Amino acid sequence: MEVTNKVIPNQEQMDGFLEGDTDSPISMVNLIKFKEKAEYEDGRDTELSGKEAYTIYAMEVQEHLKKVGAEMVFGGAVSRLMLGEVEDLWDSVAIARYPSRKAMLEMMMDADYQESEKHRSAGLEGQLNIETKEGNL
Amino acid sequence: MKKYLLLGFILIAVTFLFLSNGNSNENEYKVFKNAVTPTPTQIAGFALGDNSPFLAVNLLKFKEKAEYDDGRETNLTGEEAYAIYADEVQDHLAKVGAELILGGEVNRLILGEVEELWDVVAVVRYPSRKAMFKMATSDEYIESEKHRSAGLAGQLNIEVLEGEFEF
Repeated sequence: MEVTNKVIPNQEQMDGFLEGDTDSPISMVNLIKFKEKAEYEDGRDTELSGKEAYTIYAMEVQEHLKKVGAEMVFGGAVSRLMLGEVEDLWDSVAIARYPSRKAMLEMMMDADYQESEKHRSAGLEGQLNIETKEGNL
Repeated sequence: MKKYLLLGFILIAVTFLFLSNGNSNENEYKVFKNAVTPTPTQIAGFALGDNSPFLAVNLLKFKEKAEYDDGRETNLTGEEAYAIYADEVQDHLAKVGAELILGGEVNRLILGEVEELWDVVAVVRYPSRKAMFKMATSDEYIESEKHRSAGLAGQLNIEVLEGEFEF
């Protein structure tokens, strides 16, 4: 099986925010891989590691989540794989709960969020983000 | 006319910038393999490390039709067989002080690509590796587990040390 981590969604993935059920709660499961050293798009000099730059984003995003009624369920460092095999194991897992697809899109389009996002893309090598609908187990 | 050409050029340039955005590994795929049973190294891992709480992040893929190890006849789908396990396991979890903190059906992937997307994500909080091992080796659990392996095509199970988003 193949897996590719990414930093930005493709067109189809963006369109998905406006399709189907846009009003029900969703939980987003983020499987995150950091860059070794942070690289900012504006080319600024930095001594930060990828993880440190991403941590700035992770702190700031709490407020942005709150504004649209979303919250972090948990976040933590990956210690090992208990089952299965992954060529390049993720560094971190974070789960956020949003009231709807609409709310998540609203956050992403917000100018304040986009300011914080600079730290995310500086630190992030790539990730999977899995949208789940809770309560069907 | 010139204006449109210029606009067209800018659009192409912006698209290019967007696509090449920062990620040096844009199209590099990695390989992964779901499994039903842990490797000896993975089992040994339960005896190592400290005894702190952790989260088990399960990414599950079901079989189309359930298949029991004892060869019994069944009309259940893989998901239905696994649901029996998921229901029974709640008690086994409670006995060792663990709990399900999230269980949900996968709708879609909004970032990244996976050759075959998982069906369900389930996250369990365990008080320690020892507690998980104790559950996994108890007779009652092993009885319920028959439904798990009947329904499960394979999974990843990622151990995560929880913190206030400190990495």
